[in-house]
Amino acid sequence: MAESAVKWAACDGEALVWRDWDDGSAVYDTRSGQTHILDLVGRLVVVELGEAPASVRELAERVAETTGGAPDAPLRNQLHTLLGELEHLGIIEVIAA
Amino acid sequence: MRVQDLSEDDIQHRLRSDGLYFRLGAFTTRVRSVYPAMSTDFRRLYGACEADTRDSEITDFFLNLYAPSRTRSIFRPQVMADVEGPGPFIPLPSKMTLLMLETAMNWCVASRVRSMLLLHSAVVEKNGRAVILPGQSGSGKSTLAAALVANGWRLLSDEFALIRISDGALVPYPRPISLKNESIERMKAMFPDGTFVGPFTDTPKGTIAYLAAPSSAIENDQVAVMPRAVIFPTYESGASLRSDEWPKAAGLGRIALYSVNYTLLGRAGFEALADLVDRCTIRTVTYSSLDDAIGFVEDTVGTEA
Repeated sequence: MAESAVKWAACDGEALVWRDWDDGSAVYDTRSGQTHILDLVGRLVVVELGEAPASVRELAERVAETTGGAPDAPLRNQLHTLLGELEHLGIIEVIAA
Repeated sequence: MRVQDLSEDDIQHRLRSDGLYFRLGAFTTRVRSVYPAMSTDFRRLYGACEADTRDSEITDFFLNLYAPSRTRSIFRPQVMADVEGPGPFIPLPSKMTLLMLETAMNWCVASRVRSMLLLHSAVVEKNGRAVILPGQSGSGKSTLAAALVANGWRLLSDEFALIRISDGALVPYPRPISLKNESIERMKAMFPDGTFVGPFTDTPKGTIAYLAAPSSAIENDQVAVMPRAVIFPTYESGASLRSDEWPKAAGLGRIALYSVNYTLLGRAGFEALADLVDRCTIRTVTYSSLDDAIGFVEDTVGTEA
């Protein structure tokens, strides 16, 4: 599937209990009973996907706008890896484009 | 009535028959023992605890210390613990009956308590500022906790931080401090009037001795206190004192590793742990000098009244 054809969305918000600090976040997944620690970028991605599903390209533009960086290939690659990790943790999911 | 008000004969009779009931902190314990000779050591370590709680309080833990083999009970007697069911214990020589009691009490707390988040940790407090010292066996947490107690801190616990789910307060459980190997002689020098039991040599954890909690700690065993800092101590021979501050989120993950019931508590455990992180400075400290380590802890949380 082409990169632009894939979109991610945040999982059921009610299943996840968040605690945020200046240096990162912890999330408790009531479905699995697992706790995950996220850095600031990870938390930002989940927040953005909670507002609206996005492709990597769209997400890179939204993240860059928040962080003041460029939505370039290195950022997209970083986000691609991060999205895979978050999906593996069950915090986000792939949806149809 | 306190345990120390009972005669030796009375303690031995209770241990042999229906059991000796005593209360410490949040828990009432009933102990029976086929080896009543442990009464002398028990009285030294738990003398300040309330006794005769049988009719006034619900008994939380029932420990039966028995001889696992009738044959061996004659030639090389051993002791084993039953805690209203089997526990993960291995038989010990009967001269280590007190060690078996301590091990079984730890197991009861770790496996039964659900109203509190438990961390494998020592806890001390001064002027309302409590410090949690998580650490595995041999990390130096008990030695540092004992040294702090020698410097005027109140002992809340040597083995478990008991964090009340309802409000995040630390509930005292001032059992004896378990000292191992080289730290035994250091603490005997630091507590010239302290009450020590042991040493027990050739235990699975080396040589162990117990230092009784000061009677003032037991007299205040209903006074809970809010946590101020979580400090992970590591004793390293010859090391200059060094310390790192841990970020909150990563700190939560690290503290969770020291909990014995976090996963069982579900969301309530997460909320309690996150509240703890909110309230506390989280640091590591590596030390070889106890004086330096004491100074570090006091600087970290402040001790002014």
